[in-house]
Amino acid sequence: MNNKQLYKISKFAYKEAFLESQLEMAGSNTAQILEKMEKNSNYMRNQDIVMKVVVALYLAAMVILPVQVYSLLNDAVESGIPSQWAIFAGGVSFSIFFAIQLIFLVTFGVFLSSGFFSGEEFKWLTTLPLSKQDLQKITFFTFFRTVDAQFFVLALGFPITTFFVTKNIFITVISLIISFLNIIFSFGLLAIIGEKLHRIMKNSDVNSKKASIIRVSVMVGYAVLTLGIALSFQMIIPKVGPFFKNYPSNLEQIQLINNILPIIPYPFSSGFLISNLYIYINNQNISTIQMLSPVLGVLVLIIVNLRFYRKVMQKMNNIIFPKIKKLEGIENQKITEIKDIELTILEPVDAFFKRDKKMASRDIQVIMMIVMPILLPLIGYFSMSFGGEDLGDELGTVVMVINLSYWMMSGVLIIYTLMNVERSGSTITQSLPINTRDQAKAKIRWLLIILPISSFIPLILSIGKESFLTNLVFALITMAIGPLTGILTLILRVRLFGKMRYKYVLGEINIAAKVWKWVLIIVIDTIFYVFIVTAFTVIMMTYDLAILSMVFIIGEAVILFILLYFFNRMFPRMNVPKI
Amino acid sequence: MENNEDVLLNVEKISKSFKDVQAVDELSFQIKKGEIYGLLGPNGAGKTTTIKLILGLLEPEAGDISVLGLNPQKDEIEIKNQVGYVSEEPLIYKSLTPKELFNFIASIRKLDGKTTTPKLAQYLESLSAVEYYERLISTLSRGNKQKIQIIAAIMHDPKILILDEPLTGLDAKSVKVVKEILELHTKRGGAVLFSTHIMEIAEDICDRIGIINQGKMVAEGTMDTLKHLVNAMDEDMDLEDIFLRLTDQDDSINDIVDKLRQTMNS
Repeated sequence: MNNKQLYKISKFAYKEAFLESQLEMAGSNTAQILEKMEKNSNYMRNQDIVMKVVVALYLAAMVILPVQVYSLLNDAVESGIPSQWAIFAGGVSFSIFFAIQLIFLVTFGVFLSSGFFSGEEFKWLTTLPLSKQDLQKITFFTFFRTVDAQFFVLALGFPITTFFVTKNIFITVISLIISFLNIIFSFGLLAIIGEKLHRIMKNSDVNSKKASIIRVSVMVGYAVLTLGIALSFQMIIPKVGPFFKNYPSNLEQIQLINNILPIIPYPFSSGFLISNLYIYINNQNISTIQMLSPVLGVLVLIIVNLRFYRKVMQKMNNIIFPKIKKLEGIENQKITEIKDIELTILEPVDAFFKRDKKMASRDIQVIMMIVMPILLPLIGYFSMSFGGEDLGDELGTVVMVINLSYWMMSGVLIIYTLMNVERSGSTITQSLPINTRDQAKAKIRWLLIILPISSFIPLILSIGKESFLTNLVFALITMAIGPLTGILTLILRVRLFGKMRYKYVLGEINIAAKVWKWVLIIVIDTIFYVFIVTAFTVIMMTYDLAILSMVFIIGEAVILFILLYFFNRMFPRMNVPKI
Repeated sequence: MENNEDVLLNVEKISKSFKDVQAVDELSFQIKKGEIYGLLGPNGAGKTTTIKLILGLLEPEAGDISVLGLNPQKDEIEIKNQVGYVSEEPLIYKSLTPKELFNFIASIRKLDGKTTTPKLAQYLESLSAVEYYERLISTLSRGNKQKIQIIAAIMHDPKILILDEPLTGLDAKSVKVVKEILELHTKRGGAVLFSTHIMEIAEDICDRIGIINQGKMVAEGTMDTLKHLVNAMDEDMDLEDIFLRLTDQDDSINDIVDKLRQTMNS
């Protein structure tokens, strides 16, 4: 078979890999994804296109940073800023650009890469009359398909920008070469991390503490990266200009850094090479050693890339011949013996909570649900600290209103995610004598743990500041709002989807007009949100903290009483007699 | 004269439809103590819907269901305490291990750890599932997932077992073990509702068989009764032939076989 035919065949393997990655990412939402696919056969194709377009656009939008850096380098040359500092600032800025590109690529591609390394998509291909070489090529083409959009944007985005900004063919050609080297490095790293992640997530030795810590750390890290990356880019852009202008008086150390830092192959060698060349073509003197060190760094990058290439090809071979990998896994697995079997009986509410906790440590969706409510207020605090200086005295109120919004959103998100957990094991829960009250109480326990942490975490950042006491009072009086929103969503969700003749269940029984029911839930949640935020802002602006505290505490107590009334009616206490 | 106390499961003229599809249509049958009742039918015949109605997971539009004298809609929890269920598609928390799953089930069922642990260990050993006890369910094969589901259904000593294609993916040894479990279960007064596509197994283990098609009961009884129904007492017919004849599929299957023969010989 020729390469064109093999490339066409790889399309089927890619579709499988994409599906696998979506299911891995979905975790407890797997049933929902499968349901969507059943309704719309193009669902996965559309998802794939949307994801590629979004990632490609985001990567393309990042070229704003090098455009800015070129412009600042130009200004530096014209305004007589010392060349050592211009090279340093340019080199560091370009390096940050390459680093962010890499982080972005890895963050958004890692699950697709991980799905690819499951090898599921190649199982049936190995039953067809295809040679080993053909299978290897198909594997390579499949991986290329997972990153094709990113490949073209990364390969061409920076060189095209360089050409239009500098109008210099030489530096454009160099930037093209650098882009290709960076792509090989990035994709090599993406493949290696993806394969590692797949092993961590699918590790059979699930009960070892080490494996659990690694798994949770990886997922938390992923969540932090996803949330932090957009923010960091936003924060960096306005800081680049001042960075160029504020240079130190002693430039000897900078010269030394300019000679050493570019030896580090990624991202500094590429960043400093471009910076050096740009200064050089603008008739600035550059010492030979300063020119040589990024060249040396680029040579090291080529060696690293060669090693990466071999390693990735070896891992791709392991996908086609997975027996070797399986044997490696078995050596480390704990073999259970009959004497190890012992049941631990808990109260039903504790059992539901423990089950959710176990699943959370292995499910990216659930871990995101736990991490996001804690991270969002922190991000809110940071973003306001960086951009909200103009707000003066009202900054505290604005931050609290933003955080209040996050807590209310989180309450809804937590309930939504936890309800999906139920669906992932539906055949087991369907057969169990479940008292829905226990099930619902376990969900509320999550709200009561996560959301207060989320309320108090931003306070740590204001310790020692004047606003600490006010923020503490704010946190105390509003910390019930998030859980109340969650309970409201739970009640609405069960009322609309789980009403049966004699009882309410947490599962989705009444699926007619599903979209409209969700619209109704969101509308009611939004009305509740607008009411709370408006009340908070108006009272805060009109009266003082004491009045605000009093109104909120009484208001929350009333809302809690109403919600508890509905909760107890829907989930009555039961005393189940044994037959 | 039939003793009502012997009837553990009574389904009487139940109906259920989904939009325009009549999934179950005035279906009736009974299962008595010590009996294995086979529910057979082609794909989409209404077997799984019937099982869900019995478990109280769906509400019938008409008719009555009585499980151990209780109503599945009103007394769902009491019924589930006495019923074990194995579903056709094992949706069993793939991110848990069997150990975590059994702990969860035992906690929800409020079982006694001391008495249940040795039983669980024995079931795991009998079905060769001990080595998978602490591995993620998602990493297990279809057959091993099925073993976990079967153990989950029997660990609380239910009076009624409702099994929807329970032997899918099991190896020969495990099939034998499950058959033994069912026999022991019925000998001590339990009942089994057994839904399957594998005719040989149904013929082998079921005391009575109900054949449903398009939600309706088309025939019911022992193998001899079914043979009578199709006027085939003298013929060497097995359950598969009876099933195809009763569900009006015997003519179409002959056509298909003829066409296949022509295609494969050409």
